[in-house]
Amino acid sequence: MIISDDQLDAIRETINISAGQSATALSELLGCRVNMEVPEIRFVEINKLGEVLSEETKSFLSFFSNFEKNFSGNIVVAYEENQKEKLVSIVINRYGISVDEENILEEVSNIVFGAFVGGLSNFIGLNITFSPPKKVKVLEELGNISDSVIILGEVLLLPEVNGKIKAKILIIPTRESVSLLLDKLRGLLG
Amino acid sequence: MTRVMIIDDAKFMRTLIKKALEDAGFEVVGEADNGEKAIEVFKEVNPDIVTLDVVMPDKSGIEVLKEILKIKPDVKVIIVSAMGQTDMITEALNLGAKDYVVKPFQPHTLVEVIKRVAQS
Repeated sequence: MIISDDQLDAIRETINISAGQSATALSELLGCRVNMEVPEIRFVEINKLGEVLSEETKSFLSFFSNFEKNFSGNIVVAYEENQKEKLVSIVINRYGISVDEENILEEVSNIVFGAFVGGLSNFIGLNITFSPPKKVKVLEELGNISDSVIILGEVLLLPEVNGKIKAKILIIPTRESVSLLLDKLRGLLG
Repeated sequence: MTRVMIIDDAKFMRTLIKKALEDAGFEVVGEADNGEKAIEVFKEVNPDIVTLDVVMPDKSGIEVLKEILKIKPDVKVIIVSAMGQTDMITEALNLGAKDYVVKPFQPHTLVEVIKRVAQS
């Protein structure tokens, strides 16, 4: 699959728009500003994916979902390991709930993914859903991908709560979904 | 004819906004893909209205907003950003932006906002 610079730019902007919705949802959930950095797009060989994800999520606790319906691939959100307690305690204190850390982070991930997928669906006009978030135990769980080379989109969300907490969103669409996305983006330009 | 400048790091988004504006009869007089270039182009083309992204590499749209309002206090700036958080919208409006459009948007929505701001 050959992707031009203009197409990469359009994919980056799509991730920016979708992640912007996640930042807004996370901001409402945590009651603080959530800043965001410009997304990065990379091509990764499928046999290097595990290695790249391991490196990217080293010292992060990750949750993933599969895109469903008209889009396929995976979405991952990774929380900085040494800051995750801060995130969890904000949710506990703000909502007065008492559940375990994994359940809270699953729900935070659900909100992040829901907003991302909603933004993506609205922007490209496709009905897209996602499976319930699960904690990533082994990177091989991120199946559903059969391409030899994949695109990895990465965006950093930075909630401002007593300093900044890093949360990364990683997007791993299948080649088929990248083609579909590019068709839809071409359509938007008329 | 109202002269508009588009500042957004994504060429795709600049193309989308330019098409919507030109179809509605606006003249797009300049574009920039980063904050530094935005200031240069802004001084050069002296637009009536600016559409301004927030998340950009190096210099954020908020910094660009402050700088271009120092150069031309009566320029009408409309923020067009994926960041839809209330405090960010409030900050931009308090700093002097005339309106705030959250991405994704329908092209006609942006055109209506720009028309309203142009007439204000």
